[in-house]
Order: sequence, then C-alpha cells, then structure tokens
Amino acid sequence: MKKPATDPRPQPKLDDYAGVTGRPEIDEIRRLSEHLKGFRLQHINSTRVGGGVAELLAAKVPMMNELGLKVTWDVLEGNPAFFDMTKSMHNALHGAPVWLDRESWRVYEEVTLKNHALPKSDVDLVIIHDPQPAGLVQFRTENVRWLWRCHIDLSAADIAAWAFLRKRVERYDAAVFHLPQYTKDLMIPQYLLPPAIDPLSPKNEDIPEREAKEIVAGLGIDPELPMVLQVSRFDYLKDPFGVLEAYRLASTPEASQLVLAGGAADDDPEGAEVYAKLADRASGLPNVKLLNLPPDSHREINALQRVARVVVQKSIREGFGLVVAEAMWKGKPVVGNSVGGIREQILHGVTGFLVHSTEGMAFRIRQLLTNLELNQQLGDAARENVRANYLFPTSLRRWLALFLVMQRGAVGVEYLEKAEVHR
Amino acid sequence: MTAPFVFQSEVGAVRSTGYRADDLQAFIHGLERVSGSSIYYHFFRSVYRRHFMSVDYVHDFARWALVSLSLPPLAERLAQLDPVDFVSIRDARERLIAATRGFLGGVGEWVAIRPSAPFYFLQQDSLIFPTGQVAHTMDELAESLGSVGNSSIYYHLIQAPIRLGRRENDFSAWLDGWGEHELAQTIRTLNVYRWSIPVTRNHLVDLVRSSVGKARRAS
Repeated sequence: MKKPATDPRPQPKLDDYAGVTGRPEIDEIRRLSEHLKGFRLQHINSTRVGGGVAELLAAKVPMMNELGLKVTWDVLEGNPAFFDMTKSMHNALHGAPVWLDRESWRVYEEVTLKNHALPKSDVDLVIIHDPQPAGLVQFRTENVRWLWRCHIDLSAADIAAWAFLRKRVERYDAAVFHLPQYTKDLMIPQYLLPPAIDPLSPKNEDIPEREAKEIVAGLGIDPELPMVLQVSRFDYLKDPFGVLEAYRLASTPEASQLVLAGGAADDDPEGAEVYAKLADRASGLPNVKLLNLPPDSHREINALQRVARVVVQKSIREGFGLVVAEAMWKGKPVVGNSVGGIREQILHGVTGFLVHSTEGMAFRIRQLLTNLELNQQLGDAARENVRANYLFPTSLRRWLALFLVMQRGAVGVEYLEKAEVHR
Repeated sequence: MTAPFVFQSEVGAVRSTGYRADDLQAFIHGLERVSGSSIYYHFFRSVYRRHFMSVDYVHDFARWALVSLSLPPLAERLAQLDPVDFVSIRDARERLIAATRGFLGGVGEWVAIRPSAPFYFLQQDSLIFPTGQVAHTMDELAESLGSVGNSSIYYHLIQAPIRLGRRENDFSAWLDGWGEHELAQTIRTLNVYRWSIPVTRNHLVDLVRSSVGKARRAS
C-alpha cells in the first residue's frame, strides 16, 4: 500500500488560523484553554500513520499542547490477525453482512490484554478512538475519566458486532459521535461533535485562480469550460452512475463538462470494477472526464473544487462527507443527496440544495450552471457556513468545551469564573 | 458609578437527550418532555449557528418540518415563531407545541406522514466565561466590541433576553446606566437578522463611536 506523502511544511500554529477565523475567535480559544492548563489527556488509537483519525490526531495533539494542555498520543499494538478481525468488525458495524466467529473475538481480546499497560493512570482523561482499542476500558482506573470517540456510522450496525462492542462502550463515562443518527441506545451520555476541515492544509488552502487553472489543465481538463464535479471514491455507494445520468438529463444550452475525480482504484477490487464500468459508460460522452488520482493528490482536488462551477455529492449512504464542507469552503454551492452528514452540512436553498432523486439533481445542476447570480449567492453562504461550523479552530473550541463540561460534570449552564457582570 | 462592562462568551457541549421523533405525535411528545437546554439549543442557539444566513426557517424545528417532513404549512407556522421575540424558554416551548398541535388539528389525516429523517432532540450544556475584555468607558466599549468573538456578541446582544427575562440586551442596559439612552434604544431596536454577527459587531462599533464623537462635539 502506498504511504501517504508527508507534507514538508511545519504543522500550523493556532495563530496561523487567525487569517481565516478572525483574531477574536483565536483569542477566545486561548482564553478558554486557560481553564484547562495542565489538563492531562491521553489519546489512544490503532495507527500512527494513514487514515483520517491519525491525520486528525497529528494536527490536534500539538495544538492542544501549544494551549497548555498535556496531551499524549499512544497507539495500540496489534498483529495481522487482529487487524483483519477489526477490519471485518468495522465493516459489520457499517452494516455489511459479515460473520465474526468466536476465534475473531478471541483475537480481539488477546490483543487487548497484551496492551493492558497502554492506558495511563496519571491523566485526567483517556480518549479511545474507534472500536479497535475500545476493549482497553477494562483496565481503567477509578480516578481517570474515559471517553469513546466513534468516527464511524453505527446507524445500521450488525447486531452481534454492536452487542460485543456495546458491553465495552457502556463502561466509558461518555461517547462522542459525529451525528445524532449515529448515536445508540446507551446508558452513558452521548455527545455530538462534527468533524472539521483544516483550512490551511494542502487540500483546502487558498490557491490563486490562475494557478488552480494551471493545475486543472495539467490534469487534462479544460479549466475554462463550466465544470460539474463530484469528488469521491469509485464506489457504488457514491452513485457515480447516478451523477452521470443526472448530468445527461441536465443538458444546458451552454457547453459544460462533468468531472468525476476519485481515489486510487487499484487498491480496491470493487473500486476497479466501478471505475471500469464507469469508463465504459462514459466512453461515448466527450464532456465527461474520469480522474483516477493517487491518494496524495490534495492540491489537485483543491484546484478542481476551486475551478468547478457546481459540486455534487450523490452518495446513497454517507458518513459525514467532509468533502462537502471542502467544496463549500471554496465558495461552491453543493447539490447533495439528502443522506447522512450531507443533510447536516447543506442548508437547503441557502448554501446549496438537497435532492432526493436523479431528476432532482439534474434540475439543480442545470439551475446552478445557468443562474450565476444564485450560484454566487449560495456559494458565498456555503463558505460562511463552513467558517462558522466546520473549520478546525471551531472544532478545537468544541473539544475544549467538552473537556470542561466533563471535568465539571456541568449540566445546563455554568459560569467558569465569578465575574461582576452588568445585568 | 456604573460597573464596567465585562465581556463574556459561551461555549457548549451538545449531547443527545435520547428523544427522537419519527412522526408528529412523537415530535410533540419530545417538545413537551425535553429539558429547557434542548429547546434552547434547537430554537434559540440556532440563531447563532446560522447567523450568516438570511432569516427564513432559522430554527431547527421549522427546518425539520420543511426539509424532512416536507410540510411547508407546518414549517411556516413554526418559522413564524421567531427566537428573538421570546424572553423565556417555557413560553417558546408552549408556543411551539401549540403551533404543532394547531397544525395537526387542521389536518389530522396527515399525522401518519413519516419524515425522511427523524428529529433528534439534542441539548447543550453551556459554559460562560469572561473573554478578558472589560470596558470602563464608552471608548473602551467600542474598542472591545471590535475585538471579541462572534459568540460574545451573540451572548450579550441576542441571548440576553432569555437570561434577563425581558426584552433587553446587555449593551443597552449598560448604556442606560451611562445615561446614553438614545444609543441604548437604537441598539435595542437593532434587527439582529439584518447582517451576520461580524457585520452587526462592526455596526455596533460604529454606533458607539459615532455617539462618543457626537458627545465630544457637543461638549
């Protein structure tokens, strides 16, 4: 498997984000963090490199330390049998028909036991990410609070896999999910924290228009022709065939093009199959381009999103779908199927459109390709929606709030400091 | 001597209440039973979460009726209940329930309509903290207004009536103490939906500065 490319640039500091959020927002985060000076926090996940969770921790841990918290990040040591098992469990928790036998559970327990010394007892909070290290909770000590951070969609979880996990999750003090529909019937508090995008990462940083066009031209795409874009894995669940059909139905007097940009299909047998079928179906259509990009094509995706006139996300099922926020951050109105996190991010008629059918998507594509005033208006609102709700500093602020709420057992409204307030 | 104006801000942790509505009866059931923090989050706090957008269907209940129930007549009834018109969570809850019941009374046969997505009742546990900005004079108020975050402006201007239990905001209350009744009244009648919070903040700065300038010229 190809390793993700390492970005040679240093990790941004909190102050670097003032340019996108405004200085006052950064100052408030600093002020809030003063109440957490010395707060000891341990993150545990199952991989140091690769995957969204590792990327997130690599960015967040240094920043929390910069704010005066004492944060460490440890990784569960597994073996190939364990990771095979947890991959199957991951699929089962996503609702795939996977049978996990007794041997699978034994492997899980064995690796959990081997890692018994990993959780620290001299911290204030342990955060366990995802199901792989969830069993470590059996080694928790009385004085430490434990939080389970679930990054996956459990709404259609296999009953047996969830029953196994649930026994462990209920031993935590609280769980954190991305969306309300992923929460479960649990006896512990369940918090909601949506994920966020990093506006300073290669995938989202500003690129001058001319440079973005050059990058797009370098991909063999005409940057001057109005573009409808979907960025997603070549996966049936992302419904690229539906996008193709919607684009066909949305014929406009003005020439345009459809670009379907996806990840490296070679690593995924089903992805290769979808790509081949899609290429076959698109072969007779001159204005449809498929881009099979390597996983580190962040700048290329960034440029495509900036050059596109309309961005679509026609997923049949979707976790959170941060790719929607990425496009909105570039001032693009997104037309999305009304599922999962897409429904949370798009404010229908304000920042884009939610649709329920291929015809609905066709109508909105046509509308946004032709009505440039509406396109601009929704795109501007989309960017502000991301600025207010889905940027990295906002997420950091929410995490700090959660730590304080957990630390204090706060319910309802609480004042952090007694101040003489004019009332 | 008027006390200094201490700028505060609010952060919150959002959590599930365990209530979800798969139809309108369950929706009313939830409205009746969830905590005040839940009504606060979905009704009042939505003004902050969506401050950058134009006004219609600003709160979560109306948006759910529109987007998930596809019931514009109900969405309109709920949207007509504007968070900024309320000074108590209890009143807001009662009016939301009455509006939904009123709708059901009119079109009872529609009760069976299922939403495309349930309404999940969430609630917010909030922490209030001083931002570190304190104003002792009108000049300092203008300066501090320009350097506090959106959440602080929301807290003092839009959320204040819920906290104070009357149609008032913290800035106007403080300015009245300074004898600046005209400016206090201007801010009291400010349309909070006209602009996003950052733009509203700039407008407040201009108002205070202009008032200070006028007072100086007069003296």
